[in-house]
Amino acid sequence: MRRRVPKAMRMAAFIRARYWLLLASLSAGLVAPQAWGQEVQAHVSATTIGAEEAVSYTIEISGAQVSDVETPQPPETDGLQILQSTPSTQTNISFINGNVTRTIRYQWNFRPTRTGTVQFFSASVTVGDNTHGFDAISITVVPQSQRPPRRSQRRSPFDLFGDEPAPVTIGEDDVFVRAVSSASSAYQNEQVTIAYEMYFLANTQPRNSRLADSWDAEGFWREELDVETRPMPQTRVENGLRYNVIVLKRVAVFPTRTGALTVDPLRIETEVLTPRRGDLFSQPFFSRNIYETIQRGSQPVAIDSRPLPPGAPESFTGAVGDYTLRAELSQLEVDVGEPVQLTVRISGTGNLATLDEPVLSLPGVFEQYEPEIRTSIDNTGAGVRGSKTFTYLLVPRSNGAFDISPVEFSYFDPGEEVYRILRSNPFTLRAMGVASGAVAAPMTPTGFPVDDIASPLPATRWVRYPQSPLHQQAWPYVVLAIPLLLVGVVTILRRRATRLATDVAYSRTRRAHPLARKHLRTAVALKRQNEPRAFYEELERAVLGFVGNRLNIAELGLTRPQLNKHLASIGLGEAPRRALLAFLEACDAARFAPVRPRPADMESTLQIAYTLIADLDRAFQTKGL
Amino acid sequence: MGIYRTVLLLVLWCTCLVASTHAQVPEAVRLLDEGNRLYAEGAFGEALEAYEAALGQGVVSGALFHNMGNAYYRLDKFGQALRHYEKAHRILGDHPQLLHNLQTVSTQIGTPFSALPGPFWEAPWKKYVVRQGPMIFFGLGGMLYVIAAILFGHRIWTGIRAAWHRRALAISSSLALLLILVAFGVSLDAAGDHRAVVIVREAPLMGSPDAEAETEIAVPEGVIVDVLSTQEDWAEIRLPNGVTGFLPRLAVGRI
Repeated sequence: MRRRVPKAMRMAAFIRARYWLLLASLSAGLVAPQAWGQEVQAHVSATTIGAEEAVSYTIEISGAQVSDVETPQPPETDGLQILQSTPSTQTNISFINGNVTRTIRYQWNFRPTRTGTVQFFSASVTVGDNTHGFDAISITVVPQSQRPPRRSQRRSPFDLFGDEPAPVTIGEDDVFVRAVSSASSAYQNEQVTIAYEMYFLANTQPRNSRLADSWDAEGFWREELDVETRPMPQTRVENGLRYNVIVLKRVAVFPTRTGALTVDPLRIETEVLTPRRGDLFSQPFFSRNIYETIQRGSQPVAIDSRPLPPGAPESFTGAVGDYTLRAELSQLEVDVGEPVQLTVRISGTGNLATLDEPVLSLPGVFEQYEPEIRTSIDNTGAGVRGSKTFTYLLVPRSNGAFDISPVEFSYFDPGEEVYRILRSNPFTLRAMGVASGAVAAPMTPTGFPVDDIASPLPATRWVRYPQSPLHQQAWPYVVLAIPLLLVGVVTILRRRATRLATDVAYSRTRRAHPLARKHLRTAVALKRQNEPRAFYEELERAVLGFVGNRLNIAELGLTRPQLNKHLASIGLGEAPRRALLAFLEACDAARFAPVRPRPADMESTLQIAYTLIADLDRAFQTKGL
Repeated sequence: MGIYRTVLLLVLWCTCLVASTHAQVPEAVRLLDEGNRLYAEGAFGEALEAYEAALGQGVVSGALFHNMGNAYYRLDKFGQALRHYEKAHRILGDHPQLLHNLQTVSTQIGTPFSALPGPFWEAPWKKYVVRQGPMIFFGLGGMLYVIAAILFGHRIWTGIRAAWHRRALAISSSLALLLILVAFGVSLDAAGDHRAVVIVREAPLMGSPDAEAETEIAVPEGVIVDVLSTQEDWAEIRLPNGVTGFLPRLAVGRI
């Protein structure tokens, strides 16, 4: 039944209040009530009454100036008769947390005209320029004998010996606990806040409230939210009755699995004021109030936990909420081996406690240590919010300018139902100095840095590139062939030497040409020396020796006719035989001639010898000799 | 006369080959040293350019590939780093520093794929034979081959039939034949090594060489695969666990 006044109007009223406050302070030196906001509500004194009892209807305006409030008209009714047309008016000023609040109440009393359900129809009140309406309120009227006991009922001081009043019991509607959940359906790991509020009628005055049973939220990660240790009750109208409300407990829960999940009810014990009639002699005129312990419990809270939609980015690790990301590097230039801090701060609303550390994509030259994690959670607000800071220690092991990729963090935004990816700016860190001297990195037993590569190597042996495989290159086959060829040559030489040593005919045949050439060269020399006799003798020796070697015969022991006959026997033609014999005759004639032959004749005979040897060789080859 | 001419031409050809190789070495050495200097200054990108220029001289050394792997490692290109370390491994063999760097980059990469067990002889063959390279076997085999040829020639020339000569000839020729066969076997093994490294952050393994085909799995950077065939923009590969598929050709680099 409470009506929230629009913010603009509250502000206007606030300004007006400040204005009047200033005026009052200046003129009278008094502190005027200060309006911090208006609340307007209507409620009844009871929702179940006896047929002979009266019921009051109250309109209550808080935080407004009296002059701004127009006196409201009583509500129209069904089955109720108003007892006075002019409302009783009451103005209270209260001080709450240093603030002054003015409350104006207009109250009418009604009496039922019948039993059963009767009703106050809707009513309204005008405050300033605004008119606030109220819903209808139903009242149950029972016969007077069945009326419920009244907590505030007091006996007349003169009715000392009357009947004992019916014992007062605390009804379920007098004090109850309500669990208020921010959502009945949520994504897995989405934050849901639950507030446990205790409603109580003003005259119950509960105290010493405490948990009566354990409370659990299975299937949830939960974070307690702060509540005021000395709460100031708020007033709320519920079913036409005016309740005071305090918050007993607030908790933020995050479903850790999907499905239908239930949060346990909150069960409390509290002591409430119970009026009893006192002893006649101890308190003869007044009943005395005692506190009675009662138990109340809220309803369980059912939450439907839904799975996250598909399409999560690669860096998503389950974060749900609303976050921001900030990353910064402690230094942009550092000496090799000196540590540098990379601080990644994730802030926002959500389950910060379970946020995983972002995975860094660092150049391999960096030695990275486990991050230091600090979590700062603010539990005072409507939900869990705060920040989680990951401080990474990085140590460059080599000099150079290194690009550090942006830090990436992704989460699911349940409000927009989309995955969002946050990226920091990239960094460029310059590591200076000499790696070998500055790095204090541990070394392996073989002298290489642990978890890092060793330094470059100097070149020693160079080969052609690209290089064909061995079997596709020519030189190995050449290398392998050379010894084989040499062995072949040795074999041939050996066979030739053997034949020359054992085969006379072959040997003489092989020697025929060299010997003939030798004799001819000698003959040429003798011609130059002008030794005709020796010249012709050498020519004869060359030709006759050639024939003897080629035919393997003892040519010197043969007469000319015997030679002719032998040559004829082996099939040599008539012409070569005649040429040979003519040549031999010419040589003999020249050798024994009384006059010296002319040089031209000698030259002619030499040419005949050359020709004759060649012709005879061809003739012998033709005959297969 | 013909054989003398052939031998002479062969010697001239070898001389020219060696001379041309040695003419390119000084420039390559200078570029390698320049790259090492830039590396020491932390200019890894520039160092890599110098190494690439040295490679462009047509000569290479194991150290050059090793240092290129270092530069790629510093640039966080672990796939390329692993690829060049493996190339260096072919030349340098089990160099301790190279093995350390290979281990380091392998640790950085990790692989999500299990390896299929090979035949029982594969591991010792790779460890004790292939890693030595073919040249050492060919050199030893060649020496024994020449000795056997000399012994054989001596036998032909002299006709010697002594037992020691026969045994020496048999042993040297058998060993020579074995070692030369091993050398060619290692060479064939190296030529048949179609390994490649995934050099991009993540490569999609397709069921067919089609960009529209369904992606079966993602192959992370640094995984060593066997290239079964190549066709246009695609390479058919086999993962260490035996799964085959197609990767974009540019996503893998041959070792």
